[in-house]
Parts: sequence; structure tokens; C-alpha cells
Amino acid sequence: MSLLESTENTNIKPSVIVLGLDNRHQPSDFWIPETLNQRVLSFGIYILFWVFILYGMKARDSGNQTCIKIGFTVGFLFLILYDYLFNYAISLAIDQDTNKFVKYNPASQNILLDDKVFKLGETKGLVMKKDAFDKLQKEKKIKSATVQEFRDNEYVKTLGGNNQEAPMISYNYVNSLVISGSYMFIILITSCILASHHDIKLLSAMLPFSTTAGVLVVAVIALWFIDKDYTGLVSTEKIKSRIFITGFSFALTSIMTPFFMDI
Amino acid sequence: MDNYIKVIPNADLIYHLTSGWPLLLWILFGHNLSKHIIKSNSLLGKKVSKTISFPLKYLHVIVFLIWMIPFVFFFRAIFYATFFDTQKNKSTFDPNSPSMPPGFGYCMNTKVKQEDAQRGVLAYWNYACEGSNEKFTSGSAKAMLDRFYYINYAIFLIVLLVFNSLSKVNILKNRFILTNIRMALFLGVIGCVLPLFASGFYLRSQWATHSGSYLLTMNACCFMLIGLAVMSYGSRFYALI
Repeated sequence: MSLLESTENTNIKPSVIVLGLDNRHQPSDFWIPETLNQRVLSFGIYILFWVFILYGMKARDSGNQTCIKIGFTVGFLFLILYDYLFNYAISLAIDQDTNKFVKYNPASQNILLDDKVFKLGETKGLVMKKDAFDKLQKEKKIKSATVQEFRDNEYVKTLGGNNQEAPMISYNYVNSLVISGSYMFIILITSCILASHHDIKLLSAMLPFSTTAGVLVVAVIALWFIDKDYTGLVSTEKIKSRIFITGFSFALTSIMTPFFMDI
Repeated sequence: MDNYIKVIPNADLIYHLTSGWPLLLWILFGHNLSKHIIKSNSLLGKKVSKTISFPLKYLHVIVFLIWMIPFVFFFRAIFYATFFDTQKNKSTFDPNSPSMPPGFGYCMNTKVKQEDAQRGVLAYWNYACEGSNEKFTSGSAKAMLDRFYYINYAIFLIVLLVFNSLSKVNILKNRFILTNIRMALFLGVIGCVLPLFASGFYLRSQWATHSGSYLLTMNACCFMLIGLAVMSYGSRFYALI
């Protein structure tokens, strides 16, 4: 199963995206395929974390049962949505020519290493029929590498050199998650201050979840380390995004508690 | 080409209708809030009436108008997207043509040269355009996140102020204010998820940002309602000095 290929949209024939080596506007943050193990692991970690907080830390006894169920379920649905968007969703675009929304099914994204046929230049990319692209490659009329292969080589070769864009874009994205997590934590603490005024029982129901959310969305995501290649860089982004979703599920449990415990 | 790139019918209408999902939360909130509206003939209603120079029912009208703001924005967006042609300046029904915000480019073009079509090219893709769109969407999401933060930080300050004056006037006993604060904080937490989906998913990211704009409007409206309710306590604060 390729990166963006959809199982539910097999009626759309697969295409490939092709861009030139000289492209100066290519996104630094391409999607790359995840292994099944990696994806299953992320769901496993989510469940394990919840079990640890609920039973290990006994948050189940003090928390509101309805909020716990809602928080866990919404978080789990978000994880599924995130996984779906990265691994199964077909691509949507707006066609300039017909002025309509269209959907297509790109199976891979490729960089032309030796572009004598299309002369794509600095901005142009192509959406091609997959079989036509494969045929051109077979006939050795074009030479290409997937974005993942190309970026991995480039990233390692020029580490410390000119290829600074890819890591910086990735760091900026993670940074936006940390900022967002920090805002979330301030909101949770405000809610806890309010609860402390009303009812200590309400506060004790909220605090474990608020604290866990804070630890996950701020502290864990703030960890900084250097990845060995482009694949590692994008994988780290995805892992941190999923940790953020886990933190959000705890935050949701906490912020909803007053609605259910103090009506 | 139809086997590879397919037109999505009524996509623009679907895009705008589905992005209004936060309004479901707003309806639930409205229902909850209506339980805490002070009745004119109640003891508290008479007290509040003394703090304003107009009948209490007008205050209820203002509350209702503020509550309606997100719906006005939603129906306005649907109207201009689907029922109005801004170029011809006349009413029309077009659920297909995209109506993206100004600054968002259309990067795919299926009008390809004959020679490229023969080689299997289905469409051209403009990467400069995609780069601009990505900046546009993630920039919008960042701006919205900041606004969520400023609103909820202001609420945080109100809570601190209230704690400082708890022994004198406790506005947190007012369920109307309390419900609004809780809803605002709840919306703030949901709004913080925005950066997660606002980059990397192209049109879906734009959709997420569009939904986020309704969440933000609702958050701002909650703050307006809190302000309105706290203001009615103004003269009581004055009496304490």
C-alpha cells in the first residue's frame, strides 16, 4: 500500500506527482509512508498511557466517569482521523481550468533527477498517470527518485551545509505545537482555579488530567534532538503530533468535568 | 482523465456546511445558558434591574443578539459562497464553484498541452502557489491561536480579579457568568488543536482553519457575554467603595 493510495477510492486510478530537481518552492514537509508497526504502536501507547493514568495513578477514582469516557473516545477518534489523513485519504484540489473541486489518487511523489522530457523548472509539477510514469522510467526516458529517498540522501549529505529548510520547517511546526500546548495548559489552570473556588472535589477530579495534559503537550513535545535523516525528522513530527492528541484527550476530560459535576 | 481526476459535485456547499460543525456546540451551550437567564420578576432580576437604566428584557435581547453572531457569520458565508455571484453582483445558486478566502490560490490546472497529455500528464501543479497557500493557512491558524490565547488570558485575569475581591463581591455565584467562563475555556482548549490540522493537509487544512474561525467567534462571543454580565455588577462594586 503506497502513501496516499486509498482503499475506499479504488475507482480513482492511481497517479503520481512529479517535480523537477530545480524546484525552489517544493514543500519541505512532504508526506512519507509510515510502517504498520509504527502506526499500531502509536495507538498502543495511547491506550497504555490512559491505563497508566487511570489505574496506575488512580485518577479513575477521583475523575468523573462520563468525562473520562468522552475524553478517551474523542482522543482515540482524533488519532484515527490523523492516521487516516496521513495514510489513506485521497488528495483534494481545486482545478483552475474547470473551477471545480476535484479528487485524485497520487500513489507517490517523485523528483526527476534527469529532466530532459518535461523541463519542469523552478515551480512546475505534474500529476501523471502512474502507468505512463512507470513506462517512461522503464524506457529510461526519465530518471527519478521518490521524495523520501531524495531527501534522506540530501539531508545526510548536506548536514551542516545548505539544506537548512527541511529541519527548520519541521522545528517550526513542533514549536507551534509547544506554543499551542502552553496556551492549553494556561486555560486548564484557569479552569482549575475556578474549580478550587467552588468545590475541592471538583478540583481533585480535574487536576490529575490537567497535569497530565500539561506534561504531554508542553514538556514531552518540547524535547529537542537531532534526527539522523529526513524520514526520522518527519517521523518525530508525527510522533509528537500523536502525543499532542493524547495530551488533548486528557485536557478535554479535565475541561469538561465542571459541566458534568457541578450543574 | 475522468478515471484519474474526478470532480466532486456540490463540493463548495459541502465544504461550507460541514465547516460549521462548531455551531452544534453553540446550540447546546445556548440551551444550557437559557437555564441561567435571570427572570425579570425574580429577586435577582429586580436587583440587576437596579444596576441598568433600561428594562431587563432589553438586556436579554442583547444576550440573544450576541449569541446569534456565529450563526450570522455562518449563514453569511453560505450565502456568499453558494447563493450570490460577487462578480456579476446578483443572486444565483452555485454549489460547485469554490469560494476560498482571498489569498488562497488554485494550484492545479488540468488544461495540459497536447504533447504532455500524450505522455500521460493529467494536470500541472504550481508549487509556488502551493507554498503560498501553505503559508496562508498555517499563518491564519497561528493568528487564530493567538486570538484564542488573548481571549482566554483575559478571562484568566478576570478570574484572578474576582479571587482578589471574593470577600466583597462574588460574581462567580452568578451561574450565567460561570457557564460562560466554562464554555469559553472549553472552546479555548478545542481551539488549541488547530495547529495540528492546519498544516500539511492542503484543502483539508483550509477547512480546519475555516471551522476554527467559528470556534474563535464563539469564544469571543462568550467573552462579550461575560463582559456584559460583569458590567451589570458595576454599580454594586461602586457601592462598596
